[in-house]
Amino acid sequence: MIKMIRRWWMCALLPIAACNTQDITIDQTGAEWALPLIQGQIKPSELILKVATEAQLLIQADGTLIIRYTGDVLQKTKKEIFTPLPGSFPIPMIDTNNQITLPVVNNVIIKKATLTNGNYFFNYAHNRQEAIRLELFVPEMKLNTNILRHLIDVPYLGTPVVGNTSKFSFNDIIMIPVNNKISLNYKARTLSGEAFKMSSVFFIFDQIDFSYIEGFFGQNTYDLKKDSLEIDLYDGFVQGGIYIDDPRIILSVTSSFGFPTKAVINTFDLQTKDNNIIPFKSKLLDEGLFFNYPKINEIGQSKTTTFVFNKDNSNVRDVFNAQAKRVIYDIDALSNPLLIADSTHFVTEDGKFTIAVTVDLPLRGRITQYPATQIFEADASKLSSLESGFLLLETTNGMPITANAQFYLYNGSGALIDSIFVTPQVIFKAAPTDANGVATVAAFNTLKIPVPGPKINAWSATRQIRVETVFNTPADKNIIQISNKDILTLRMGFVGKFKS
Amino acid sequence: MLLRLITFLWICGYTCLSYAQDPGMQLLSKDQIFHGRNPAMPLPKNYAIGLPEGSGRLYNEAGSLDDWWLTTADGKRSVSLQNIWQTLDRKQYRSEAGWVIRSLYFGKKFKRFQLGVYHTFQGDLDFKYPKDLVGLLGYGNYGFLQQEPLAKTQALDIRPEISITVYEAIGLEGGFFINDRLSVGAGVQYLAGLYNFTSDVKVLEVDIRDPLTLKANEDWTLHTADLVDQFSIDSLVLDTDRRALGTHPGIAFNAGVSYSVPAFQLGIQVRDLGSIQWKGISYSRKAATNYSGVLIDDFLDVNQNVFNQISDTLRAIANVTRSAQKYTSALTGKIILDGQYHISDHWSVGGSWYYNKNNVRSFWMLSGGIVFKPFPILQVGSQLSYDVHQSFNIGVMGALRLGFLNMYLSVDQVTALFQPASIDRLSARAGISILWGK
Repeated sequence: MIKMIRRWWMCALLPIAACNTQDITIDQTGAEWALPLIQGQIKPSELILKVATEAQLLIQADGTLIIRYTGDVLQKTKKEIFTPLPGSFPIPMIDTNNQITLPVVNNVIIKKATLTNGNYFFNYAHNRQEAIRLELFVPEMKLNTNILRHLIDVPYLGTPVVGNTSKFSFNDIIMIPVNNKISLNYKARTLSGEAFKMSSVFFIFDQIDFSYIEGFFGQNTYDLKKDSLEIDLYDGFVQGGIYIDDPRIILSVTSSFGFPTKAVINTFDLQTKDNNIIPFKSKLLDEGLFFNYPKINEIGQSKTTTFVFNKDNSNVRDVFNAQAKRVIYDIDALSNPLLIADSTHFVTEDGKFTIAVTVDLPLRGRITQYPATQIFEADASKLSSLESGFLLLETTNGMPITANAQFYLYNGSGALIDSIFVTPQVIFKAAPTDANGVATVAAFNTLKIPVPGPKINAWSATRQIRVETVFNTPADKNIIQISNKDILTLRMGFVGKFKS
Repeated sequence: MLLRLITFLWICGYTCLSYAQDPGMQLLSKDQIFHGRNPAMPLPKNYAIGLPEGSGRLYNEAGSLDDWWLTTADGKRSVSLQNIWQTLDRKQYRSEAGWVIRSLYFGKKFKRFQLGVYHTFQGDLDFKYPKDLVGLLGYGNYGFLQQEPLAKTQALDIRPEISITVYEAIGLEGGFFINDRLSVGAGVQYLAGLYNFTSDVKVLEVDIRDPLTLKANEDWTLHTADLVDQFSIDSLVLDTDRRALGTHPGIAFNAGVSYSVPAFQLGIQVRDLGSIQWKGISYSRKAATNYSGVLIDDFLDVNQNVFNQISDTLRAIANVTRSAQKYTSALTGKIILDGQYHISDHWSVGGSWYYNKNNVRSFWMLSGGIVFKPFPILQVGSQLSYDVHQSFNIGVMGALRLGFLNMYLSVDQVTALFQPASIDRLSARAGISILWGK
């Protein structure tokens, strides 16, 4: 009974309450709400790395910025230049005193070398029916300050007497040839002291390698592979341009070879965005690029030579501002370019050339219609709860660059629904600058982006927003400087009425 | 979301209007039975059955609906918070409502005592709010900044106080007649809580000076039992599903003394001294918020939906702690003093003093009135009351007896009968009963 009464009353009460709730409503049409959406600071470095994704960004102590593109490091090592001499066949020691010429290439006359990474042994035969002692020695080779010498006792075990000595290592043997020649000598004696000539003696080695060579190095061209360096700064360009006041190409050569070299420029071109090839020219190239190298008393050191091609000594500014997208270079090294006779130089085991090409673009110049596009996934169906309003955008810009933007709205099928503005609007105003183009104070800008009631239904179908921003330096500024201290701040919120 | 809550609170108040009645019925207490009658007072007949009765009280300090209406071009009317705000001073305002719906009463008077059982639904709603809360909701933070000079210079204190309790009661009352003049009575009610919503707001400040920054300082807890199902920055889901009887149990007591002689009668009673234990949920938040939007670094790198990211971020910064909680709320206890002098068979004068108190406010009302009984089947009267809100009210009451069937009506604001939307306060009652026997 009580349960029935409770039900009856609740059924009676709730519809009355519901009826009144519908009849008496709170008017919300006049309420204007502000809801913050996005905020933050953007440093110029963050913006730049979004467009120059292949680059490094160097932030100088004073905040100035340099975009740096770095090419692959090309190198040539001692192992590539001075390959080990292979011991392909036995060297006959026809007489007790034999002179042989070292199979050295590359116009090198070895005056002193330290051997490594090889083994050798001797093969012998004689027809004496008794034990003998064989002495093998090389006067031009020393081990521990002594002439390289081996005493071999050969027992008689029956004719014919044929055999091999043990294997010996070349390691740490110092060779001092004369005109690239060394002597291979032997002495054969019976146990009673009688000298005689062996039927045959052969010097056999697997390879002769050098951990150090000192001598005369003639002219040789050492081939380094052709390479290129990609510049993506202009990839987004459709029109307009970016003018860098003082772009630089830096060629940096490090050598630990102890002989002089000079660059042989086979190719040094810049390819522009429209695929034109422009030869790179510089008076430095005309004068010849000579590389520093360690002197004989600087064994183990590396010497670096840096060549900076800038607007004063080359055509780099012109070719870069033609929207260079690639630096193509093929550079070889020529040893002993002045061919100094009877000079003495060296090569160590770890010796190598390295050649690195970098492109530095200091952000000082001007920008015309530089574009940046960002696409956001955006399910805007929640817009349907809005009556009307506007997006309030407040920005401060420390950079002396304006940014105009347009927002394009796309539906789920990728079809364009609408654009927010009739024409792109100024999002960031350019900061004023001093005579040097350096920003003096940040510029403030407020923008109201309309969200009109009649368009909300159509806009709520948006699933993707594409923001196209175009950067420009002010028309009255020829050159401006961008510093990482020139921070952009942005705050955006929705202001408007919600549907009741 | 908050607007929905405010709407709900206001609507609750005006919903009660349908059942509004008043304590002026005390002047008819000798011949009528009604909920809240002194349990010590002898029943007018040996048998009494109380049929449905509604009584209630409403007070809205900020004005009447007539002050707030906004009629749209299509003729629809709605309450304009902007209109309300323009009438307010810088202080805390109150909206109050209380109601009782009696479903059934049965009483039997014996020689030296009497017994009665009844069932009721009861509710209380109290809401305190500052002017700036109304302005903020009416204009929005951006619109309010343009309207309120103070909002341009400082944070706004918008602390509200809210208390809502709805319960049903099954009561047993008994009276003992000490002699022909003096009687005492007492009662006990088993309470079954239905809904509760109680706020404990220590700090709620918003700073709207910068429209692109949400800045707030909050320290509050909301206790709720079955009324709120979900509460977050962008969602308020009310739960009106009934729970099993006894989910939120409670007990309350009534007591009274009555002295009655043919020429006059005096009575005092205390009612609803008790509490309900709620098995509820607490939503709390203690935080200083300073939010200016999604960080642009995250925004530029994000692959997920932009709007979802914004709403997720908002939810994250405005997180509300939810925890199960058992808590107790006291009923709105009442003290009623009444007296009546019977000048003749046709005329009587009397008065009453009514006082109640809960955790949000206390209320008192003093009333005096006259009753005319031209025929045995009809009683009509009028009363003048003065209450804690410093308001004089003129009310009317009447009762009609058709055989054993009794009907009664009492309103403490005559205006309510003609222009209900023009009043800002009201107490009223209407009901039916059956009385027979000696």
